[in-house]
Amino acid sequence: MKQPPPRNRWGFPELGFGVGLRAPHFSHILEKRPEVDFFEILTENHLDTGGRPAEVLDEVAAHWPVVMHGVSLSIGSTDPLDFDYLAKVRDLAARAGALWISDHLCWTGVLGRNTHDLLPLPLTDESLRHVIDRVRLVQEFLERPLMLENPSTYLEFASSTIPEWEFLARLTEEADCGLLLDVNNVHVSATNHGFDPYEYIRAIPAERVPQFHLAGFTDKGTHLLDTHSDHVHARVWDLYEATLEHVGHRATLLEWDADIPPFEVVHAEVLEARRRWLTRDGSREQHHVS
Amino acid sequence: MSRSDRAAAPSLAGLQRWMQAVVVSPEPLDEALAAPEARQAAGGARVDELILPSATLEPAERIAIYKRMYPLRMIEALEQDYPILAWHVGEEAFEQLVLDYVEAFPSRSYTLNRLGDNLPVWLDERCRRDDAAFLGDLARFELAQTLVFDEQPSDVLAAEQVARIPSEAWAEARLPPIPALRLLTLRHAIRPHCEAWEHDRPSPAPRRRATRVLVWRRGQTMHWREMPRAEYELLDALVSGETLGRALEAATARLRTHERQDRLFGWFRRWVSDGLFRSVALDASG
Repeated sequence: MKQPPPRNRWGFPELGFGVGLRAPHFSHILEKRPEVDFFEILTENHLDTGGRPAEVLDEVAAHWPVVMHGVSLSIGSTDPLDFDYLAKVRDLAARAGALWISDHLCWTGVLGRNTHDLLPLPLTDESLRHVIDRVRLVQEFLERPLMLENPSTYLEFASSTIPEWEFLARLTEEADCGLLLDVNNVHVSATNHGFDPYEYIRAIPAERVPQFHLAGFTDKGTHLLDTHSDHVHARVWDLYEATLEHVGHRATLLEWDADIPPFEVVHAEVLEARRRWLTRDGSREQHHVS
Repeated sequence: MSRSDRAAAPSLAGLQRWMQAVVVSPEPLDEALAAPEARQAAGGARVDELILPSATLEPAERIAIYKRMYPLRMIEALEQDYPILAWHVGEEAFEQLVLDYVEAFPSRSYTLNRLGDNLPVWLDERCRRDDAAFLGDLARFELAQTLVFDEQPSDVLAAEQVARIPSEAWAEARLPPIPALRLLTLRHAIRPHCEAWEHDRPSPAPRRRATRVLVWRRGQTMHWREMPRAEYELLDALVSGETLGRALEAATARLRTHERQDRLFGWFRRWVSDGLFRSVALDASG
């Protein structure tokens, strides 16, 4: 008999199918109360503001589960960690009752500067030790596990010696952190670098994954760009189904950040993820989807 | 190329300094790669020693992807914060203006929301455009809107609370303002440009005119209006923490006797109705 896939290591609830909370949808969400299982907020959009984003977040957090997703932790940077930022993240998580906090396996700047891009790391033992040490510090400060997302990347360093999937497996194990598995990013990076995305997925430690991301990319001809500006591509849906097979069901979130369409379009996309989960053989017996 | 010809791989810190130097440089890629800062960070290694080619792109073309995205992100962020200024100068000029500004004031914050905080000062002091002073005023106005938008909500003084204050207490009373309030003194008129932008009409030529502006937020609604000088100065004194008695003393000296009382009461009623104050502070410390 087929065994149910392992659940995440921390016993986080399987939230179902969620949508990224974005300003163009604020009014729709508050007025229509759509049947979304959870919302993910972009952490930085809700720091240092007492205006509309704060008011909307309070309202959303009162009605839906919320998780936080940041872009400025810069966990791979050789600059010191910004503990003022982390304190604000911790406070925001408390205010929103966030179930977990995630950011990206990347660096965003050095020498005190922030490029506001998710820049790639050389995948070396030096980087791995560096990131592990910093994840431990962050988790100690936040008093909760940190989830790191695999980023889309557009270059590979010649000095890299560790495949990304192995880097992630070792990182999550040794730092005792989680992996926010972005299925679209796996496809984008696999296409850009020429690796097998299915091999990547098979190497992922399922118990370390509480959440998936899905999004659309832009095909630039010579490479794919992770633009979050389109529907999920057919090949990403295929990879998502393979991910469900290997990892099992996890909170699945649809990101749409550019050329944002009406809420119903974004919502329909994540309902397609739900449909694919529900139509998998035997899935409904193994997991309850809220 | 033999192994001995290759430079040793830089450390993680060196590689990051190299990549950042190339990505944020305002120079074209070739010049950015050849710049001393980048070469030093990479220990003299060439781009094809640091980055692998893909099936479709050479190493330099791969880092160029990041280099192209950096200015686009800065432009997009400032376009959101300064939509009227961007519209007034036009797309191409705004992009160049942002690139020049970011070169002087790169982001050092975890949030792009603070990227444009120095734009008014930069326009005033370092921008070489003929209309820089007007753009500085426009930027100051738009920055005030951004700051007010993000301020914390607070209690608002109600008319009923005002009515309960004993008349003899008013002279020493102070009126702490709500956080979501800014007062601006500008050198140019801005209303014609705001209205033209709102109605998608051509932007008029800048016109010099001393302009005093109040920007505030009531609930989640943003407001602004121009103010006559006397009203502005009285409100400014109160917002700065002056007692009502001293602020009125200064204000009445500037008004003709017959118009003093009506105008002062009218202003005060409107300020309370607009929700500009948090409370009436009657203690000596304010």
